[in-house]
Amino acid sequence: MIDRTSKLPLVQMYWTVTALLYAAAIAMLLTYTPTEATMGPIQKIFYLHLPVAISTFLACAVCFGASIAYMINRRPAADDLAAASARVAVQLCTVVLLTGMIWGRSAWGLWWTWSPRLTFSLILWLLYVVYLMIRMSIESPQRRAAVCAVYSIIAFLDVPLVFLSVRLMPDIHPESIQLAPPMRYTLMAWMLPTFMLVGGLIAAQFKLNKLQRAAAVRAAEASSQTQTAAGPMRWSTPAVSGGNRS
Amino acid sequence: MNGTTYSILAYIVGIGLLWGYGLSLWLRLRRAK
Repeated sequence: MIDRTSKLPLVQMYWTVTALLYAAAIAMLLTYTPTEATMGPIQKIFYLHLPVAISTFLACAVCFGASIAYMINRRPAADDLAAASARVAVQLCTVVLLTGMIWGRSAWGLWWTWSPRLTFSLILWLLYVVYLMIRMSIESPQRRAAVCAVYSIIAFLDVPLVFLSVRLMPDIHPESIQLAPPMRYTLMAWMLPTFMLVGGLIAAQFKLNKLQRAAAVRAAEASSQTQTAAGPMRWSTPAVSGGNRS
Repeated sequence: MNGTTYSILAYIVGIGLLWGYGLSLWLRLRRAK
């Protein structure tokens, strides 16, 4: 039998280390990282924007993989993981869009422009928001999981479009940035805590989804037992469907 | 607003949204257990 209490210190240690790494990355940004000559201080948004953008792609990939796994074996855990990673992907993509808009406002004088990369990024955000809305709109857990799995497999097609668009089409968004060694080290210092944070968020959301699914199944069983005890002639409200909608 | 202010704003928004979401998950997990 798994001793769940023994996992708690590991989880606490994980989040403590993540927070400390973030603090170290911020300190590095303030004291060590040089200011870029052309763009000035606004360029420092890059050290948050790029790791979160990469994490968005990774979260979408986890959703894609979990959805394929669900279509193959129909296990509820795969659906829970897909839902969790989609939820986190929406959060991450929101941060990418907002930090990008703030950078664009300062660098280009525009909050928004319909360039290929920005447009495909907005589409990516909308696709996964719609995924979450679909989850909330379907009662049956099996049907919800299947519909969402198919949808997320198709939605993932936008990820390579976001990545490649700036390379294939004229775009105001820079394709790449030349980094001096201190800037490269700073970028690496921001990558690790960001990936740890995203991994922790997906794991926590996945755990919450599992708990909500189990609670919904218990509620459905209790409801059906109540209906059985009440007898066949009484009208009653339909049994609550199991599964999570998050 | 100058570049430094925009930069600080971006970090507050970005880190705030991510860690705020993490905090909300922690609170919901505590309630769910």
